[in-house]
This record gives sequence, structure tokens and C-alpha cells, in this order.
Amino acid sequence: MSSAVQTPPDASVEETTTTATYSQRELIWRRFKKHRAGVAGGCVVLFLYVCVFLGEFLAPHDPAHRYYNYVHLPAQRVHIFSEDGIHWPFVYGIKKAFDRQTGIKTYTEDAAVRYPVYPFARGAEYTFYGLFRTDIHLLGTGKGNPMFLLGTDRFGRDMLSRIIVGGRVSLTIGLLAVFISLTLGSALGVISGYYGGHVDNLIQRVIELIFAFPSIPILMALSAILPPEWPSHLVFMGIVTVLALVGWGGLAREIRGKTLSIREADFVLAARVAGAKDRRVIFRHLLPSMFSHIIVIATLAIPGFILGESTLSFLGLGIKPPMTSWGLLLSDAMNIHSLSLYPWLLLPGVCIIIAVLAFNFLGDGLRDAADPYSSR
Amino acid sequence: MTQPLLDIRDLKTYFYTDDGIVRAVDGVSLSIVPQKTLGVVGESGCGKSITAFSTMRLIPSPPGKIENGQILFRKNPDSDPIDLTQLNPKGAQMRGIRGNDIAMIFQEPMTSLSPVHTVGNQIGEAIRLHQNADKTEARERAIDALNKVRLPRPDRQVDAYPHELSGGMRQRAMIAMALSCNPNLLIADEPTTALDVTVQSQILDLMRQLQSDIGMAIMLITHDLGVVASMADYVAVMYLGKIVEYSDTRTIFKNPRHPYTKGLLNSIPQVGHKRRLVPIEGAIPDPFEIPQGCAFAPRCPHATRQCRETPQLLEIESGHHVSCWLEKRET
Amino acid sequence: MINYIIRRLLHMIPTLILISMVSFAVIQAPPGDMLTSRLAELAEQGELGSESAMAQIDALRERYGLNDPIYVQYVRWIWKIISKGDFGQSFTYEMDVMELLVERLGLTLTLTLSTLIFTWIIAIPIGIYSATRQYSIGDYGFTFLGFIGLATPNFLLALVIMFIQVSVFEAESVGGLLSPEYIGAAWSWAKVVDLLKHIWVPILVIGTGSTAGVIRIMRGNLLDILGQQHIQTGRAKGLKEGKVIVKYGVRIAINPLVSRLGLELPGLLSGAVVTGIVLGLPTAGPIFLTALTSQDMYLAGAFLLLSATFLLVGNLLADILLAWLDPRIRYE
Repeated sequence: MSSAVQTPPDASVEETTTTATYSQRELIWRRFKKHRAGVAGGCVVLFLYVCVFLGEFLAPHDPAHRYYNYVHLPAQRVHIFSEDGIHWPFVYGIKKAFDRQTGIKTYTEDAAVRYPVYPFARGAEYTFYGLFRTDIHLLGTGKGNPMFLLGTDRFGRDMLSRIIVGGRVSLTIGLLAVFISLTLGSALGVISGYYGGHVDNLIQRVIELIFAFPSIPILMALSAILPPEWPSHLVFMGIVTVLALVGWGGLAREIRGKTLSIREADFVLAARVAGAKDRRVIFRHLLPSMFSHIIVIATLAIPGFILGESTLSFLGLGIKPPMTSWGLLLSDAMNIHSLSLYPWLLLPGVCIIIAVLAFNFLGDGLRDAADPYSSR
Repeated sequence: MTQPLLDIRDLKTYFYTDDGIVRAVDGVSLSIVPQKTLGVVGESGCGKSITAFSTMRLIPSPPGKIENGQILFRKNPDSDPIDLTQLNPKGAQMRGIRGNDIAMIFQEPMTSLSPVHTVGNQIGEAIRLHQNADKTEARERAIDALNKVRLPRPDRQVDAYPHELSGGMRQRAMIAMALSCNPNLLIADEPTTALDVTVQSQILDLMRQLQSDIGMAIMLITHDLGVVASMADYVAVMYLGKIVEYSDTRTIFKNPRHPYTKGLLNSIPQVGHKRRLVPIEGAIPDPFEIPQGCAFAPRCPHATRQCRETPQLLEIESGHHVSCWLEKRET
Repeated sequence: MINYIIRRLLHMIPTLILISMVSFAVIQAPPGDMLTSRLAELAEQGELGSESAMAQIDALRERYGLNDPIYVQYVRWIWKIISKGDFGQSFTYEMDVMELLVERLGLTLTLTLSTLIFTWIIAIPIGIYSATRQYSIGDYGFTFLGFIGLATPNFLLALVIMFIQVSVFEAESVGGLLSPEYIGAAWSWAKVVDLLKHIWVPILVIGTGSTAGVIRIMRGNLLDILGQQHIQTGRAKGLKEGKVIVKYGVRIAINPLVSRLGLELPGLLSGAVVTGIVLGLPTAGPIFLTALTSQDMYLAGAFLLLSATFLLVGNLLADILLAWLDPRIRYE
């Protein structure tokens, strides 16, 4: 009978052998690379953090310096052309006019004066993270000369510089708060899910209590408790703590759920049957296998913290000067009169939306890559 | 010979996916005579369910599409046949046939009923839709239908939710729903696969009994040859979207001709026969890479060079069709 | 069912006690007691030491028993609330907290609930559209808008809408719930119309984020459910496609939305507070902020306690609604 068998050509054999040799991490990475929105979000996040890290170097001006001659100046345009042809990029000087009757100041471009925009121009002196002093900025027109690409605020401070420096606070608070609440949340979530019983009950009750309050009002109340005499940097840490204190519950719940599902997985049961201690099971088996989920949960939690901080600062209960953040910058726009006259004051809001969108896309991409079968 | 109730001619249903075209049903022809049962047998993925869903015009589109063929259905023996492939799947005429003239039951009694509506509501809905009954009448007839499928205490179960019934009871309720409008054709897609063995035989008994009461034809889709042997009058064996053998049940079991049919029969145990079970070598190929020619050739112990060309489905004796080059050689 | 509700109500009692403790802790948290700021105020007016002022302070100290241990103060505070509905005094407004809050809180809750209804009315049809026409241009459009909606903080949206009103439509009165001429006026048809002209702004501001969320969930749920077997059963019965989707799809996809109400309401209430502040609405939001910045803690604590209680009741109602909608839920 076997002699009659004619093995037909089989092309699929070779192909099947090349798959299935990727590690879990490589698989996630490969799936993530296919998620276009996720990759785009990741790039934007990276770009934002590079920008705020470079901070004072990117900022053309000292963000605290008040140019009293240029209060509420609209955004200036960078020109290449003038009547007499093509130039090195430059900005025009500014002519100020004051209407005595309406009391409205108007600014016009002064065609007679041109300030060329140079890379690595000298400007205000600053200390780069306490490492060295310098006065080099990425772009500039020279110290004291105007170049306000996004306009100025009510004290004549450069919006672009303030947005960059404010972004450092907004984006760092998001990271720090997620780090603290994630530490707290994974510890309590894993304990809650792994041990169950009374401990679980107690932790769940505490989380329930946090969720019983509407989030923004309880955040407001807690930050209002921070002593008013605290300096800026202590308030910063205080806000981080408040955000983390209110935010860990949700993370703990998700991690508890994951722990519950993994606890009964065969490899965990096998480790327990083999007599591994709880600590070993948690640190060697549970946490490593949840690592990708924890990253996803963290990424998706950051936008909430950024929005929370911006709301608090906007309401005057968060970051306090001389520090600034996107939310605090926006509080200048709360007055409807200045909002309608100086709409560029809303620009920090655009940054908030971009940052939150980017984190959300990145988180969605990571989630789909880490867990392709759960759509939510 | 009586006019067939359902006559499927050269049906081709393809799925256009991102990864390529799946020829789920690729030139199937079969017919069903009134009041008889046709068993459609094959491994999972062979296209038997897609044939059934094509008949009901319930193929999700996109990605699915009926590419070719006719599905001729006679509402009653004297009327002209309607080609179901020409109807709008969402149109009134097709909806009037579904549930009324052709009814269908599914494999998973757990999920085939809505969890948030009572059994009576779901059965009565079809009655109200097709028979112009009002609410109370529909309820009466739903109780009646539950009684016919021998559900205990139908006047109470009519208000039960599916999760309050066992799997077997749910399948009875499904059958009650399917038969509530006295259809001419019942398509049963693996009706007993998800049930316990004892419940299986009860459900099969019930279907046989109701068939003789109502006088409907059944298209019974299954991978279980035992079910076919006990239920079907005719059998169509399908492999990768094509019918490979087609005959009356007795012939199929006594004188199988296609190597695949033989393989299927050799791989099931039989009471009283002590013999080795012989599995079919290999596995069903990737649906995107169906081999040229006879699709079964890579797994066939008798395959030859000739099998690279597609064999025709030929009538080798009265009513017995086989699609295999072996037959050509012998005749 | 009755048993279930009673059990749930009993379960609420310990949570309520904890909530009240947290609220009281917030009241007590600022350094000094609540008379510190009052004393400072008096000192500024140069009245410190005057007999009437000191008598007033003493009376207040006596009234609130500020020299008692903290748990005694808590018990006294909570007992007054339970027995007399007395939440204490607001110093900035020099009024009974309850008197001050009752109308504004009512308005806040009305706003929250109207927004909830608005959210569902908008989001559910869009979710159905997106699920039944998956990957269509409309689906992508709504998904994109949803992402933007989720990324925009309430206060920013309020600013943007005010900006558009002023600069594009050149509106004269922006924010608020009524034009100045109707404030304090008797209710009339014109006043109702004026109210409707104003109230869409806060509803839009509060509702955008959660509308985006509900669309997302509705779309996902419905897609899951439309892939289930019982949908085919409905179609096989000969039902119209629309009826299949509504009766066997949407009807089931709504349940998770109801069970999510417990998460939805706090967000909406938060939104109502912030929006009230930005738009200057006569809701609880602005006075809550004032209370916090001026350390008028009895007012702030009362607001926290009352809003948490409201959420608790809302949760209970949502669970009852869900138990009624979904027969699979057992009342155990």
C-alpha cells in the first residue's frame, strides 16, 4: 500500500518552521510596530519629553523675564521674504500704538528693523540642571531682542518659553504620580488578589471609599490642605502626593483583577504545588508575567494625572509661582475679556490635548500589542 | 421522483479577507426532497455550515459573498421554485421565508437564545411575525410549541429566561421556536454536538418524531456519522468546500467509494466490531492554500499524478455520486 | 428584590460613616481651627481685643466645643447633621451651610443628571452607528472626535466655548445660567427660554468627555454582541435587521453602560463642579472653591459629604436598574 503513496509536494512545511521562535517581548514589540496610531503617539510622547528636558535651551527667553514693553504681544511671524528679496529668516521689530480713547494697545510690525533668527544664539543666562551656566539657546535674536513666536502674557513674558518650562512640570507630575500610585497600587492590588480574604476585603473597602467621592472635588480639598506657606517645590511634591493618593485605587483594582486571573494559571499553581514561598511566587512568577499589563495600565493612567494637575493648577489649588504648568498658564485665560482679546493664551491647552492624546494612543497601542485578544 | 424542495446548484460562497480569498463553498450541488433528511457530513471547516448559512442568506457580507450558483426553493410542491440567491438578504421576501418556510437551529444552545428575553417572548416573536397572531395568541402557541417539544411544565417555562434552563431544555426551546411556524425545511447545524450523549439521543428522537408529525424536510449538518446513520435518508460528504460523495445513507455506509468517506468510516468505533481504528493521515490544509486538483490528494493513500486535476462528481450507480479519479480508472 | 435593596442599604451605612470621617478629617486638616482665619480677619479690622469681638469668638468656641477631643467634636458634628440637618456655619458667607448649599447643590445635581441624559441620548445612537458601520468614514470620524473629547479637560472646553461665543457670535453675556435681566425675576416663558439658551453650554462642557466614553463602550459592546449566536437566531427567525440590532443587540449592550454608571456619575459631578467655576454658574462649584481658598472648612466638608452621599445613592439606583434590566443578575 505504501508503495502507491505518492507524496505530493508540500510547500507549507518550510514556512511553518520559521515562526514561533520569538520571545514574548519581541512579539509585543512586533505587534506594537504594526499599530500606527500607537507608534505615532509614542513618537509624540518622546518628542514632548525631549523638548521639556532641553527646557531652557529650547526656550528663547528666560520664562520669568517680564518685557514690560511687549505686554500681551500677539505671536510674531518669522519671515524669509521682504520687499528686497530673500533673507536669512528674521522677525521684524515692533511698533506700539496706544489708543487713548479705547485704552487698547496695538502692535504692528516695524519694517525698518529686522532681527535675524540665529541658531545657538546668545540670550538670557541659565543653569542647565545645575551642571553648567550658559547663555546659548537653540534659536534667538540676541539678548533682549524680541522674538515672541507664540506671543506674550500679561507681564510680557514669552509664552513659548513658559509653555516649554510649564510642560516640564505638567509632564513630570504625570510620571511621578503614576510611579507612586503604581507602586502603591501594584503592591496592594497583588496582595489583595493573591491573598484574598480579610486583607482583600479591607483593601477593597478603602478603594471603595476613595471612589465614593467625586475625584476633582476631593483632589481640590486635599490640595487646599497643603500649607499655604510652602514654597513652590514642596507644593509640587504635595500635588504629586495628592494625585497619587486619590489615583492608586483604580490601578490597584485592575492589577487585582489580573492577579486573580493569573493566580489560577497553571504555571503559578505549579510553583505553589512545588512549595515555592508566597514571596517567591509573587516576585518570580506573578509580577513578571503581569509586567506588560502593568506598563499598559500605567501608560493609560498618565493622562488622568496630567488632566488632574492641570485642573488643580487652573483653579489656583495646584502648582504655585514661580513654578508654572500648563494648567496654571491657562488660568490667565479664565477672564473672558482677556480671552477674547488675547486668544493665544489658550495655547497651553493645545499642549495638554496633544500630550493626553499621545499617551492615550500609545497606551492603546501597547495594550493591543500586549493583549491582542482583549479589545478593551 | 418528486420535485425537490430545495435544489442547490453549483453554489460558490467565497470570503474575501485581508489575508486572501477563502473558497469556503466551491461548487456544491445538492437537493433535498420533501419530508426527508439529508445529512451533510465533514470535518470542521469543510464548508457545511457555510452552505447552510448561504441557503438562509445569512452570510455576513462583507467579507462573504455568494459568487455563483442557484438555490432553488419551492414554498409548496406545485409552485415554481424561487432562486434564493437572487433575493435581497435583508428584503421582505427573504425574511418571509426565514423562520416561516425554512427554520434553523444551531450548535450552541447556550448562546443561541438571547439571555435577557424570556423563552416565550423569543418563540412568540416568530409566530407574531409570520402568522399575524396577537400577543396572547402568540403566547398560547408558544406554550403549545414548548409542549410539543416535551418541555416539562410549558406554561411556566414560557416565562423562564434561558439561563434558568439546562442545555438540553434550551435546545428543545430552540426547536420549539424553529418549528413554531411549521416550516417545510429545518436546517439543523450540529444540533446535538454541545449536548451530553444521553440528551443527544433524546433530542434526535424528538426531531425524528416532530419530522413525522409536521412533515418537514431536515438538512442535518454534523461531523458525527453516528447521528447521520440514525437520522438521515441521504448523505452528502463534504471536503474543503466540495461534495466528494453523495448517496442514500445505506449505500454510503455499506459501499463507500471515496477514500475520504472510507477514512471517516474507519475512524469511528462500532459496537460489536473489534478492529483497529484508522485515522485519516494529516490535517485539513490551510484554507488559503487549498491544493490544486483533488483537495484530498495530499492526505489520500491512493493519490496519483492524475489527482492534480480536479475530478468531477460522477454518478457511478443510480443515485450514488463520487468525485474521485479512482472511479474513472475502474470503469 | 426587596431583600436585595435592604441589604444594599445596610451595606451603605458603614461606607457613609467612613465618608463622614474623611469629610470631617478634611475639615480638621488645615492648621489651627476654623476660628484662626476669623481671628486674623478681626485683627486686620483692628477689632482684636475689643470686647464684642472676643465675646463673639468665645461664643463660637463654646458652640463648636473646639477645646474638646477630636472624636467628641466628630460625634457632635455628625449628630447635629443627623438630628437637625445642621452642617454648621459658613464664615465667609455668614450663613448656615445647609441654607447656602441646598439650592446650589440641587442645581448641581440637576445639571449632572441632565448631562447624563444628554450624554446617553447622543452617545447611544452614535455608538450603534459606529458598530453597525464599523470602519466606515463616519465610524473613524466619531472615534477621532471621541479621542479629542476624552483628551480635553472640562475647564479648557469651557474656555474654548466661551471664546467662540464671544469672538464668533459676539455674544454679550457669556457664562451663567441666565441673562442678567432674568436673575431674580419671576419664572416666565421668556426666562425658561433664556435658561435653555444658557444651559446647553455647561451640558456640552460636562458631557463631552463622558459622551466620548459612552460611544466607545457602546461601540465595543455592540460589536461583541453582534458577533454572538443569538443575533443569528433572530435573523434566522426572519426579523428585520433593525429589529434584530435593537432588540437583541442594543438591549443587551445597554447593560454594561448601566453597570458603569457608578463610574460615570463621579466624573460628571466633578465636571459640574469645575464647569460651574469656569462659567460662573450659581452651582455648588464656585462656593466650594471659595470655601477651600478661604479655609471655610465646614462648608467644604459639607459639600464633600453631601456629594459622596449623592453618588452612593446614585450607585444604588444604578444597581437596582441593572438588576431589573438583566435577569441573569441574582440578588445575592
